[in-house]
Amino acid sequence: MEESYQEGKEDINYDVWRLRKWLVNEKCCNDILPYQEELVTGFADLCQFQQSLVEQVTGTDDFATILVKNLKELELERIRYLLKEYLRTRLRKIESLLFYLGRDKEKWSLLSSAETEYMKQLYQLMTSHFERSFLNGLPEKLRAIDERDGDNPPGNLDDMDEFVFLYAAEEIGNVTTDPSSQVTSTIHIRKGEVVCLRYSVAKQYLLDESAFLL
Amino acid sequence: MSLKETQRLTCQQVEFFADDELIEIIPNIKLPVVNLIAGDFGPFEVGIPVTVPLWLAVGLKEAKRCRILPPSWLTEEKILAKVEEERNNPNSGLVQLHQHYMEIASKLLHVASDDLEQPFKIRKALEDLLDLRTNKLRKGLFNVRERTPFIKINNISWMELNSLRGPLLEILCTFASFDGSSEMETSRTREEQSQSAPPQETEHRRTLRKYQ
Repeated sequence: MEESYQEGKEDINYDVWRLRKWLVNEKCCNDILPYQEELVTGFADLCQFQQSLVEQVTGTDDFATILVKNLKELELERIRYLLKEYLRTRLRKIESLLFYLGRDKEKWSLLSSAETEYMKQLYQLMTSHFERSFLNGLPEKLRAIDERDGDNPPGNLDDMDEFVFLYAAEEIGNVTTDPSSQVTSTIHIRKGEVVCLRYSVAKQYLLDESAFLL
Repeated sequence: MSLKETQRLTCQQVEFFADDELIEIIPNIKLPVVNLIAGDFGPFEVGIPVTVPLWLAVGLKEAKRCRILPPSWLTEEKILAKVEEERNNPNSGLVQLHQHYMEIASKLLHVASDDLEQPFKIRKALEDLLDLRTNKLRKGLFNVRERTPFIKINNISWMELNSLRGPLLEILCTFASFDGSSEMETSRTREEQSQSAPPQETEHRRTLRKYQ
């Protein structure tokens, strides 16, 4: 895959690309990835600053000034969309993985403080709702609500280990695929290659940003 | 709604990402440097080429304030060369193209066809190229006949991948669920497009017919 937007050009804020990559990573896998606090707060501040600059431009008839203002507003909308979609995607994931996240406290470090608070409150509300509505009427051994059933939220990482499309932004080298299988195989992943493989294999490359999902 | 449905990357989102690609324009208006969050672009001088994101180029074009310089690959000649290359190598992988070639070409054909040389011919060549690549991908999909730990799909564009995602992932998951029968088979390194062995009438294959 040929990338036209490669690093090296001056005056370009490559964090926009990083935010986009993290958004796509979140969208293309079932696991919850670390919250990109630095990126999100950085862009939220930038948007606020840019908005204040745009609002300062008033009462002018100069076509060029109005055109530049409109372009800045257009870009603000685009960046805000990226931010909102990133946060919304994570919230949907938290809702879908609620019982898994609720009982696995190690995963809480991947959430922002606001997300953790939201998850805890939702977990409590859902648990008490299920208990009040019918669980309390069941025999005690049938009351657990964190078991997987059909399309319900997954219960462990194995359920999230789906195939994903990985794009190697850097040379990755030899990778052992499908470690759970009795038959091991390795693949050499070069820079710019697209490989469809298991999420558990791809995850470490997402975290060190040497690759991203498509 | 399941997690998968809520998380799916849509074609509109892929198109949105393509709008961030850089492209050259020739402005017919003088503007200072535009300080955007994504970077500083300009200054814009009449008749002097400047590099900007596609969305900005389209915005200026719609305001009739610039002429867009199409990317070097967006000519009838270059696309026909790629068509020929795809046609001459039916059993090899896809030919390298820009990751957003479909989105950029379609946007420029829509908003800046007057800046392209022979846009109708470009459109026709692009359709041929797309047909060839889609057929190759379909063939490759049909060649997945057993449990496999990975598949390399080099040079696939983002939009092509988005359309392939659903069926391919379903096929791989289906085979992965046939754990016992194929576990002992030797896993071998292969690329999706390089498969050319004749199909065998197995139960797996019959299952796959629905993806044809």
